[in-house]
Amino acid sequence: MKMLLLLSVLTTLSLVVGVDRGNFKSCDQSGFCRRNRNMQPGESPYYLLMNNLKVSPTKIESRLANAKTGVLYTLEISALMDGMLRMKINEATPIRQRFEATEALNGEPKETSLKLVSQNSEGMTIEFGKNKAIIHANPFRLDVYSGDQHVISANTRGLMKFEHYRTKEQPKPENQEQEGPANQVEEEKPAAEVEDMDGAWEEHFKSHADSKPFGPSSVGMDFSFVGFKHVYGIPEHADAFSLKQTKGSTDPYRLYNLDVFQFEVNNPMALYGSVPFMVAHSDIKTVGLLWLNAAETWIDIEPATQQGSTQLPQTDTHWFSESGIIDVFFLPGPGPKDVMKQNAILSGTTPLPPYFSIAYHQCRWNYNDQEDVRNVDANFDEHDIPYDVIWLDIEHTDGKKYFTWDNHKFPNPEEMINNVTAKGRKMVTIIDPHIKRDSGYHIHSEATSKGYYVKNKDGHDYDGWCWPGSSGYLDFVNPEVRDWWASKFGLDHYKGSTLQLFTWNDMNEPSVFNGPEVTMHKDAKHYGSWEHRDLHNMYGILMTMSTYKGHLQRSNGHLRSFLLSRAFFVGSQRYGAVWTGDNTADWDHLRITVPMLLSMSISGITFCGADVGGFFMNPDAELLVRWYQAGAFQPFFRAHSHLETKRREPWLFDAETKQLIRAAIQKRYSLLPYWYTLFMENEQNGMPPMRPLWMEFPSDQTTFDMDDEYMIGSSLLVHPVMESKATNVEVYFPGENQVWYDVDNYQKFNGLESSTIPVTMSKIPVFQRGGTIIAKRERMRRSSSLSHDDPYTLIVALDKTGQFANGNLYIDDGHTFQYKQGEYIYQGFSFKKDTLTNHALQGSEKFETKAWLEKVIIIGISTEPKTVQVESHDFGKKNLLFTYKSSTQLLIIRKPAVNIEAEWSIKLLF
Amino acid sequence: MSVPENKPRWDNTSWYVGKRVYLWLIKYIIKTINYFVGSDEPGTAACPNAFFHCTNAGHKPKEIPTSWVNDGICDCCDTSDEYNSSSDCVNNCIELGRRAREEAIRKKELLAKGYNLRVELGKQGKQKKEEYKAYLEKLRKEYEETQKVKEEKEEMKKEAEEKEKVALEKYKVEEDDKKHQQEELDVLRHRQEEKVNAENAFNTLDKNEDGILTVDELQQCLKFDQNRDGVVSKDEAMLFLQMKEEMEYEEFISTGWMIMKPIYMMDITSAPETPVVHSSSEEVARKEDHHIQEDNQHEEPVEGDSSENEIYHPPINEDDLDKEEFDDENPHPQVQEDEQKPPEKQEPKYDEETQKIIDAANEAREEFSKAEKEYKRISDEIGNTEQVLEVDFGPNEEFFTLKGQCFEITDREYTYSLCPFDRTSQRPKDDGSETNLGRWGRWVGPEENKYSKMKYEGGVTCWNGPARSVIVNLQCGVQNILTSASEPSRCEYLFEFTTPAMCFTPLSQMDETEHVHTEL
Repeated sequence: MKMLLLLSVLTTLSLVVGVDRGNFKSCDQSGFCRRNRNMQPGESPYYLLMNNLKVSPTKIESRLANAKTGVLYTLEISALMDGMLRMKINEATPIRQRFEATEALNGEPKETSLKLVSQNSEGMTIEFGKNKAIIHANPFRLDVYSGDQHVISANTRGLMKFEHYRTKEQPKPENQEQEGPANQVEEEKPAAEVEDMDGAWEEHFKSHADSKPFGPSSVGMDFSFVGFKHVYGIPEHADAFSLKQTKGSTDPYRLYNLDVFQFEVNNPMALYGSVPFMVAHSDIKTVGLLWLNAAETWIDIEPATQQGSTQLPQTDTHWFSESGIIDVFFLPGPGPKDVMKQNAILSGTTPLPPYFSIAYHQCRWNYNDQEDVRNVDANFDEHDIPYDVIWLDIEHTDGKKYFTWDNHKFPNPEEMINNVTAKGRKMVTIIDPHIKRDSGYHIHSEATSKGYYVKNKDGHDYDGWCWPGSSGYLDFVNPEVRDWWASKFGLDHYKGSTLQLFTWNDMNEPSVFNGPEVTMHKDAKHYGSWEHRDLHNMYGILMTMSTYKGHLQRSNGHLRSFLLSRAFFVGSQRYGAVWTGDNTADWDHLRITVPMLLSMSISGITFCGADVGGFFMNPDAELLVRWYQAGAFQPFFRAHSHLETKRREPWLFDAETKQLIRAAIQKRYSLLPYWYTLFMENEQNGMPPMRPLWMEFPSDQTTFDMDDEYMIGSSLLVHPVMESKATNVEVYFPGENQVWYDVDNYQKFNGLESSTIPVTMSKIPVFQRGGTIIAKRERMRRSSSLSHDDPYTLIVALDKTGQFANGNLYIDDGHTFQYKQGEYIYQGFSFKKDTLTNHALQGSEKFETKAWLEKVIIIGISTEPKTVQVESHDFGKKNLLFTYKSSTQLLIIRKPAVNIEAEWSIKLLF
Repeated sequence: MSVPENKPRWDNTSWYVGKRVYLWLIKYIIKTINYFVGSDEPGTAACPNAFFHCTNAGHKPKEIPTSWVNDGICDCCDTSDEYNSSSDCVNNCIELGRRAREEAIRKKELLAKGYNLRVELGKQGKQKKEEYKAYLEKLRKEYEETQKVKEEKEEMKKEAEEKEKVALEKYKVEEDDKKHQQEELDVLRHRQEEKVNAENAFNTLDKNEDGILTVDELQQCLKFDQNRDGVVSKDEAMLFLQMKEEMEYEEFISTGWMIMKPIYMMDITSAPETPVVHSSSEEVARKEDHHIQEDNQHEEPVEGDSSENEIYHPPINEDDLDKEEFDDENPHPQVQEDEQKPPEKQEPKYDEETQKIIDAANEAREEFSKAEKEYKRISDEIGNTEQVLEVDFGPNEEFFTLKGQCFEITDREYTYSLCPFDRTSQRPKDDGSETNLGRWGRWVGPEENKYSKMKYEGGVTCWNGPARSVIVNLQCGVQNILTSASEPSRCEYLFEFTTPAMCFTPLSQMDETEHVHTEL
């Protein structure tokens, strides 16, 4: 028996399947996670000191006290634009400053007026916008109302915890276990209580020690979403879109940016990015909550319960972070689009991406040399497959020294880039935050002499292992470092770069191969004497912030930036695209792309994608085709593969596979005008291009748990084929009184119904919603920029009445910021009273295009017109050729040939 | 899915009517053709794989996808593809045509020379083949002879050994006794050693020297941290104390040590921080990812090496594992011989008579061994020769002379070697150890051009990947030259090789393959 035991211990050491979970902490291995998670709901010791109340036009300020420790806290509750409420709790007199993640916000949020409507010893009621909140004094609790409906409660379960900074007591010989309250003495001497000090002063994980010189510092609170069974968001996890209960079944969802080797699907483990933002949705209401904290964070979700006499469903959540403050934003909705807009106000939106960047990207670790790049580029032409960007991974550098080139493999980088860009294409090189410690490397020697590296706990330059071996990590917390880094993208600094070369910021969690959990030690020190633990989840965004600035500066603010980051945080969307990291070529990983990208999209990270084909391992032809078909309908569309995988450029497969991949990419290119319009609208109002069905059909409860279909904008429904050997897919069509049309064969489906759609290898199940108009470009070019003057085709899908449809189209130069000076065309198309017209939405005369209208397809028209007539200012009235297919109720109108921006109308005469 | 076959073609004849008219005509024809194709939209899904024909007067005509028309990029030297775009294309067909014709002439000369060389190679190849056939005949005769000799020698050996066996019988008993005594001594010595080890361990672990091992004491020794969480838990410690809180000296020596020994002797104390674990680093792949390797091994396992092992040096630095495999699968005849010899150690002195019998037996064994070796050599040689004769050396045996030669090319890091119909390898420039990239497999060119590609396979297996393999692209050239070597995909190499053996086109047929517009 004993020998058996011993044997089993020995064998578990050597078994490794998928992710090595042992490399990453479970809640049990984290002191602050245990201390918070082990709290039992009950009466909270925190109470509001009503006599300290200070009311100003936009906020109320007061103090909270902990009845058990006597420690005092500041409380600020302020009203923000668009009906939002912010609650900020900090230590009143901390012995050490506590970190605030303000740089993640899109500037300091503007406060608006707030009214104290009633107040007594038990609490107060405030009103802001159309909403109100009730603050209970003892125990402290906040109830937030959206309109008249109670939607969120804070600290109702009494799980608030705010570990104040203290100095470590020297262990007393007799009374060793007793860790009493620290050196803060308050007016009321508190009853001495033993605080939970489990793992508070020092912790070990594997061979790593965390010195925790400042002791316990965690903050936590519970939030109940009243009236909600479904909560979403808090990316990044490889899990279902509708978040699962964690309490009692798994670890809490963890947010701690980590480089996870071969991550697994369907679990709450932390991944590369963190956005502590949650959306709760029901058929009548949508609200949001942002927990602004950049330290390691865990979120427990209790199973939904029915509460009170009304039997309202309720989802209880519990959030806690290792350090920092409690800074919470309540987004009152009331609808999903309102929550998206409110989140956009707080954390900003994705700036309109350059046109090429929403097209297809070809990446691999690695394209080996100039010759390889030339061949791949030529093969895309040879096989007539459009692509826009070719990427170079780490091997292009001289010894993993970023901003340099391997002189043997890439002796003439500029010439190489120019050859690629001659066909309207672009290139991307990888630039990571770890800097090789090589005295001959200019970035390293400058960073060392200027003191720009993160320091270890002893104050020396932090040294970690990454691709180049021993590396320093730039301290992007320091604004001076960010400016310096930005300057390195100048064409005079980055030799061999051009304005057509863009950037990929990888490994920016940061990844440290020999660090705890493959990242930086928490007691490493940053500028401003912050500990790494305080701001870990922001390291990536601070880096991309700086790279973005570099991109703008190198063209004096004329050209748009494109950069891709693996790590992300609240607000990362302001600097570019994000991908889901190192996935694997299997069907589970293909399926998980949908919930992962939806979670990111609704949390503000809207320009997002997953490696097409899967990064690790080799996809077979079927999986690769299905992945291209899915990826073509996701916001960021890039194929990528590991160094040790087989080459998988489309022409390396059989002719049919190649043709299927080409067809999928071509579908993406034909819809680029639509995607571009959505990205422009995203910048304006925060609406993600890729969205859950319930964002368009909020009351359709069938859609609340869906992981396999989604909307692109408000017009297209996508249900990618994500099963091997599929012969059909079950598609649900949402919305009362809606009709949907298969974009391939114009078959009609009714809302609120499911249908079994037969699929072949070439089928991508995509459906256009009746009542919408989409502008497409059906001519294929080698790259998207070459299609600039090409004509458009309008797909007019009539609504259920067969009378009406509308849609928008946005056009600009595709790569500069001139659109901010009004140089764009934004127009609406509408079909009513048998007439299709266009009209300017945001008028601007400053942009001209040669693009014209080549074809109009009207779907769902029940009778054949006698005549179709176009009328425009330029050439008056003209009859057009058309064909009508009664079987599919399809009218195809040929060559109206009007300029897309001129005012025109097309009339059907019966 | 089938691809539509109907490629709309423009006009194959060329005409020159002055630039304006010419452009007008082109536009007219495009409209007409569009009408015919039934599509308004060149380059759309309505007509995939449609082509636009550039006449390129003065140079070669060209067909480009319709998606390249009017996209702002000058693809036809006569600028006809950009008839309606804002790009300023310049007609440079005449200049390009002139250069192309010069190049074509030069190439033609080379090809002609290559063709003649190929004819010559064919002759040599056929001759070589005949030589091989003759050699095989000769070997087969020798084979019969050596087989006979071997059988005779075997019979003689048996007889001599029978005699020897009888003579040695009486010495054997004595010998066995000695052996037995030695074994007993060994056991005693081993027990003593174990006891010392156990005592040492006990004294080291028994921190307070009270003669009792406790859980606390064991918890101080990180060796017992089996789950490697940085602490030795109580359970982990108790495991070594028979699940009790403590253990006395006697019990430890008698049974405790047996359980603890494998762990105690294994040096697993927390190692200093070393760079481990990383996503996608090769390091990690090696350490963590054996399962991938298994998944990926679609290729056949490394083949054992037979006859050429003497001249082929297996790699020593990069893939020691593979070297072992290599050796394992290679039978060593000598080992067998050694086993057959009587023990030489402590050879007792025999009387003269016995010694004679033994000597005679030894001689018989040696004779047989020689005969057997010769027999095996001939068999192997026959196998090899048959193998060579089975290889497809081309329709006229023109590739035969490449067999037995090796060609090299050196890049920045490696020297690559191609020994046609034999093997491919790679050797770092600075240290000389070679990696087998694959042995001759087969011709893998397309049906109509079978001899344009060779495949070498079953090279040294990669970490996380398949066995290394090489595709060799062959092209006509006047010399046998390995012109390039690269690794486009991990462990899948690509060589470019020129040889006159590939120059299949005689001068008389060349004009038809080159199509140059000379008229203006």
